[in-house]
Amino acid sequence: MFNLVDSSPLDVKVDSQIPPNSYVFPFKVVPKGKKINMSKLSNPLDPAKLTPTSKPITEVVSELEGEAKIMDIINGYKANGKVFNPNLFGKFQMISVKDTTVNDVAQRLYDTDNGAGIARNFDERLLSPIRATSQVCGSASVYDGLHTIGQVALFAKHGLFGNDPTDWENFKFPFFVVDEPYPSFTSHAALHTNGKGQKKWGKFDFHRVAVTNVRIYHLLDNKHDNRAEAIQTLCEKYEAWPLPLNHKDNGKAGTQGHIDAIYKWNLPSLRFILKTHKKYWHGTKLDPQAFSLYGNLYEHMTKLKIPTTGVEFDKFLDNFHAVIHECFVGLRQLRIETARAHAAWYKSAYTSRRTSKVEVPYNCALAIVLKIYKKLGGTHHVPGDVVEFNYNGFDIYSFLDQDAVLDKVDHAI
Amino acid sequence: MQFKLTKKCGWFYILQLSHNKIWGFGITIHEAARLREGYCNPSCSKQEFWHMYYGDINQITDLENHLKSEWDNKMLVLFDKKLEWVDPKHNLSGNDIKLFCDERIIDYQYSNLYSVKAEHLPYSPGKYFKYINDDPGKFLEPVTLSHTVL
Repeated sequence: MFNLVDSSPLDVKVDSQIPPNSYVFPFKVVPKGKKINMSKLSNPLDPAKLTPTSKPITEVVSELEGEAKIMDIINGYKANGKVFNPNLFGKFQMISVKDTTVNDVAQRLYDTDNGAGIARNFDERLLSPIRATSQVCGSASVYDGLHTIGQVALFAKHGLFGNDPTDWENFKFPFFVVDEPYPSFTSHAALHTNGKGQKKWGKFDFHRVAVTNVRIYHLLDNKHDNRAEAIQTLCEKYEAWPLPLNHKDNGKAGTQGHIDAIYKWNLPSLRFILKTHKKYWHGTKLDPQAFSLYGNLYEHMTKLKIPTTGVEFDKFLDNFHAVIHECFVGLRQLRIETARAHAAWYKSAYTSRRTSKVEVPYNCALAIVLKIYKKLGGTHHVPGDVVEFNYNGFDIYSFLDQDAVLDKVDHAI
Repeated sequence: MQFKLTKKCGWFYILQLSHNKIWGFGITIHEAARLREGYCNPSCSKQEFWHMYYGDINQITDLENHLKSEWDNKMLVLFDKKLEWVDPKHNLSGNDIKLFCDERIIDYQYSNLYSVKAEHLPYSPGKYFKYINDDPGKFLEPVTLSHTVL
């Protein structure tokens, strides 16, 4: 799949008057990263500021009172004389297995893989109370927690709690019960608990907890947490702080919200990605294109044992970026143009296939930049991506923007 | 001097609304139509572009995207929707927007972007940059930081 390519299959016009070693790459403007004042940004995982404190709810309430969109609702209720009934709050009760029923409408089919997962990783401390409504007959109708109560009851039947297995049906477990017996409410509550009313954790939340496990609690025996901390350290070193999507600084230069992307690459590749972005584009929002462009460049070159450090490689990288700057301005436009050109190329090259919604392969942008680089007479060894996206007589190069790319390249050579 | 204008050029403009003094910005290919139909007609008042840049449309787009990213939390929110107007509570003026843009154009080496000369500003309805591509030197000048404060 990966071939060491010494020369491009594209026509390369090289002026024979110029000695080979002094060939001057025609695109001369190399973008340079700009220094950012990181002190203006806020890093929620700053090791200097992370402390294992608990915030009182009174403080949370004060923060909420500063949110206009929430206070407008509160004030609306007050203006309309709305009063909510605290007696309708659910109540905690210990309920025995024999007094529990399952609402077939509200509950999903029992997922045995999920059940096996609960059984395999059983930790008494992590079990949630079962949510149920109290029925007229006195039973608790479960609308959330079927898998948990199913496993707990099964464990009880086999005496795994040190209980008498013959009396397992009297085994009790914590329930959170709402006194609302109408069956339609039970299914409505199930919808609310499992979807509508839930604020799911975002990718940054999982990352944050993993990093704080290491930085605050020094829990060093978890491979995933250690990797998360190493990733965070790299991101901080190269000033590309991961932030949650709703953070006030998210989207600014020096930050990023691409949590999936930073986990996708191994640490050496991630280091190359962040270091290269900082060198050439620092001061600009970190576009997701950086990850596949630099990640594939690094990994494909490394696989072919082409050095990714040193004077020659640095010169290649400068020329590589001069191409991006001249033809695409930046990584964002490269990404947009890659998607457009790929769609157009695919439609022509694969006439017998469905061409709507074709995903852009991760190495497509890299291939495009390398093709332009070679077209301009670039001589550095490059990975085989340069010959890809050439099928059925159609090369994606021909589908690039005429004014922004093709004319500029033709004029330069 | 030689101006390098590509085939696809556009405008980046900065304006202050005449009726409420709020500052804003945007990009367009058709400056006259945008001023009339985007701002004068909806506000039923004469509006003007306080400052403008002209050049390669990709660089214009990139400039606007960078400004929107960096100033995201300075943008005005009206009825829960973020607009391309600067929230007055940040006390930012056209000079601040222009300084930001000038610095970006110079730092980032947008080699095909130019500033409209002060003598042609503010741009108001009825003005036309006719034949700007044929005689760019008449209307445009390179961006320099010394020209920032208007």
